[in-house]
Amino acid sequence: MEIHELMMLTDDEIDYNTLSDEELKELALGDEMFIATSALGELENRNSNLGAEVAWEILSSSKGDRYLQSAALETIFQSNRELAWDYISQHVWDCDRYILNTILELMIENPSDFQSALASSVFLLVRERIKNLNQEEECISPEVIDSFLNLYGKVEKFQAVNSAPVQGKFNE
Amino acid sequence: MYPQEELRQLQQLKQKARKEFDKNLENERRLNQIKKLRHNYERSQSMFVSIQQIGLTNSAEHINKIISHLLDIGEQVTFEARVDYPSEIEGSRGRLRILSTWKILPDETKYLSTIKLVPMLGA
Repeated sequence: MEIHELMMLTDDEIDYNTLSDEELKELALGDEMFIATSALGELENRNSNLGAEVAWEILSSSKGDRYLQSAALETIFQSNRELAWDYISQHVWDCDRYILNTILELMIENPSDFQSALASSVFLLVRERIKNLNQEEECISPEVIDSFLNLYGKVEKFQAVNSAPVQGKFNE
Repeated sequence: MYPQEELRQLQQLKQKARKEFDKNLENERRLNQIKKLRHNYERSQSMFVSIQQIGLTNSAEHINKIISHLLDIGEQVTFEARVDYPSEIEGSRGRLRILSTWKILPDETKYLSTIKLVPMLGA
């Protein structure tokens, strides 16, 4: 089946398992957001390097919508943690709230990663962004914020014990 | 819809018992899969909320109104203006901006690839 024929189908009608890596890549970078999100997920599970490459193409060019970009950030986080932290640190101040929620969930899910200096610095940036959030802001549930802040307390203690230099940098 | 409870359980297992989570590679694969389902669900919910805000519902009448609108737009689309073609649809409580993207096949058949709904503040 040709790509344009696939794109006449709905997301539910496509059996992504049967598609080649190249077909998945084309769909993930295509115009149809529901299909792009599913194709990226299949690509990530099948070929993490190619998935990350496609995900970066989506993120670096702000392709698609906030849902596809959130999916792309999750994909990159799985295969290239350093690139993900770099992206997060550059965009955490002005990213869309839905993407911010994805960042928070990634941080909550992966607490062991906070022990790196870069991740800890990102943690501080995220906390500052949360402080400035309007309580009525959509997309971010109070439970997610609570979990994040609870975890952040533990990280602060960890940093205090280990005298992480990044703490001073952000308190200047 | 997506399996919310399974997602919550996998996220908690990954956060609180990482070694146990990592023992089964299927956990990560399934977590990734559910997250993608959730993104698609959230997108569709957001689109539905936008439609409801202008007073349209998922009734047959209103769905036909939207389809009819898009068919009319399809007649106007050209190859040069096939991406994010702007139009507006009206409901009882306001108007909604629609950006539709179309594919034009070699035989000039047009089909709708995707739409974005953009609420119009104050409309």
